[in-house]
Amino acid sequence: MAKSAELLQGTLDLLILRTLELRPLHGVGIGDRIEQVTGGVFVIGPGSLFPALHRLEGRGWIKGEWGELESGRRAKFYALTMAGRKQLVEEKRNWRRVNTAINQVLAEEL
Amino acid sequence: MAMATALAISGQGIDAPLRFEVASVKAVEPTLDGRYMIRMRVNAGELNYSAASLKQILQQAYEVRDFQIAGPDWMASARFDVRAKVPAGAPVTKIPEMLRSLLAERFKISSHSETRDLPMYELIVGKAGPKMKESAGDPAAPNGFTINKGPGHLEGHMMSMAALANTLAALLGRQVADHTGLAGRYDFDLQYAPDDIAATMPDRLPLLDAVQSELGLKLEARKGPVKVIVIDHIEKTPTEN
Repeated sequence: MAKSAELLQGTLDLLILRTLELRPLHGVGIGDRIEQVTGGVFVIGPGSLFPALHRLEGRGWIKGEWGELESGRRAKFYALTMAGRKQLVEEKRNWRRVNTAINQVLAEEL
Repeated sequence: MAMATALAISGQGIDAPLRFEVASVKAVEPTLDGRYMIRMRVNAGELNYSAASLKQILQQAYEVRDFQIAGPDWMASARFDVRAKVPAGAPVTKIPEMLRSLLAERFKISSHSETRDLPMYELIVGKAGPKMKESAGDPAAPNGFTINKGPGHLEGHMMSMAALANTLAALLGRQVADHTGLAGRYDFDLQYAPDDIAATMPDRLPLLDAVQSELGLKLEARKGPVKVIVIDHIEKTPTEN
């Protein structure tokens, strides 16, 4: 597995919102999904993930509701709100701008 | 390997039943109105149950539903606070085993499992076919789940029919056997009128009818084999912490 990388400040919100775009997920499921999709490059520990979920919920971008896993275990599942969907569009736009800018700096080096 | 290390650290043998590191079990005094704030959580390596009935704790310990536990009636009304620390590195899937050790020690429980012929339901596909939406492919999240959207309102995601049968069993208080023959995973939105508050929801159908009209599935009542945990002996008062 690839060595995990430091997250750029602010990108955790984007990763969480994007992960919840398809369907609601519980906290551990969000972390697992990000780790799986990024091939282990981003490993989000509970110490970062849960405060971020609470912050995003406080901003009204996601909403947590209790549910049950197939195993019968209760868990809090988070879903994107309408405001969260709008924020995700904004975060994607910001990320593309940052990505383009960094690529330009890297191209300069050559 | 990680598990073996964790067990070694917590001083437990590999073959011995897994136990909590420390645990306290405290009886809860009955309230005047018979209402309790019940909480059953496992968070950050700590199990925290408040005012859980002994029967509810047994359900977690034996991984069965309420109707699968046979024993004295007082188990449903005797309530306890349980706090316990899970050994470092032990997965949550081992918690039932730890609870069984704790209950055996404090309540001197002896039990056996048997199969009884009990009323149950068979879950089959209705005449018009299933009305649920097949889940979008997401191999990274193969586990289904339901979200409680409110009384009588369940949102299902990535649910296998076996998982749905299990959820319906909890709602109906009877075993539900999956005979749908559907192998996929489904998303659904199920709204029904729970029996106890049906009068406040005149626009909704009872659960059995809602399953048919909203999911396109049918629940047929019959008798069949159900695994039951029989509590042969249990003390009313747990031993000291």
